[in-house]
Amino acid sequence: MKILFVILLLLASLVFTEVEQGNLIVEKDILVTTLPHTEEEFTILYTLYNVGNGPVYDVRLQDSDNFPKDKYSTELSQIDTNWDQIEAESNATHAVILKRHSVGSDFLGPATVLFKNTPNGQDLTSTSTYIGRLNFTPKSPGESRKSPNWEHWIIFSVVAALVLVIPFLLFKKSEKKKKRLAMNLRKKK
Amino acid sequence: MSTKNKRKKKQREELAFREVERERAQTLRLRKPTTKQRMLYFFVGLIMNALPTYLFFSIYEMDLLKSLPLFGFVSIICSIILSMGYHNVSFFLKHRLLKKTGVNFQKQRTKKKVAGGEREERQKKQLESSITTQAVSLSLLYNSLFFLVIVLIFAFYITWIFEAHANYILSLAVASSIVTYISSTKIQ
Repeated sequence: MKILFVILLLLASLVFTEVEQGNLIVEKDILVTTLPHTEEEFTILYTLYNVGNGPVYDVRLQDSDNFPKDKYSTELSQIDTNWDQIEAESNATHAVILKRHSVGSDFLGPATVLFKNTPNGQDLTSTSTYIGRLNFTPKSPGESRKSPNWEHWIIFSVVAALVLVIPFLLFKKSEKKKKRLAMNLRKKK
Repeated sequence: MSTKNKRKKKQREELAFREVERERAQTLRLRKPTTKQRMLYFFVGLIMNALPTYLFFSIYEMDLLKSLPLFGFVSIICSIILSMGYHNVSFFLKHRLLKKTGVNFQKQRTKKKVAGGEREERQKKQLESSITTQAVSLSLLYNSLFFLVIVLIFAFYITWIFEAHANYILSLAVASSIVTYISSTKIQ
């Protein structure tokens, strides 16, 4: 009986002991207000959330397959990157600026993230959200002309008005002086 | 007609001819701008060219640093063309305003000193200088406004189909040329 009780206690301690384990949720997002054109920069933001109760180690983000080098070029940073450790209940971000050089349509699928729960443990995989199909068209020459550009027009109008007001004020001032002098000279005649 | 009368008539004709020649020489002299006027017209022309340049690098997204030599070169050339237009209109306006005052601005060529003559001469000079200021400021206002309107019409409605650099060169060059050409027709 006593031995059975001890065995049951040991089993219970195993069941109810918390195992610290990390778990990654990855979000992949495109930061644009309008759809990007060819030869126009756009930003992809990767956010990795560790929702587990333990840290994750040797985190590797891989997404080069979605952006082949013959079609895309990166500005300032690489697509694939890694982190040594992401603590529990914290997150990490990675931003990439890209440019597409040719016209076409691409399906931007999910990125793959490999990580480990222990420093020497097995590789685990997590996949991110995906952006979906994007059509890249060339920017037409009249496009920026047609958009409102209110702030630029306001600045232009204000500066132009200031520049034109100065000669107008000079003209008014000299007209008054001219009338006075001309009247004086005519009186003397 | 007696010879005496003929001689008098000839003398009068000669005097009138000399007056006309003197006035023509004075007009030609006044037609050339002074150095100060040239510098003023050029400076105002540069400012007028800088305004559409701002629109091109903000709306047409021309790279400012890469296009700086182009901006500088085109602005200088168009400012020179525009300054000729400014002077043409100010010259035309000055003569028109001088006639309107009804005051004789020619110096009296008499050896006798007239009472209060110096004071009158000083007032005439002041009047002439205020008329010059008026003519110059009106010319700057009119031509600058005209230039801006033509540049905007060309840049956004006529030459927008061209590439941004070609559009910039065409719109500024055509606008400054039209303004100067129309101003030159006024003084003919």
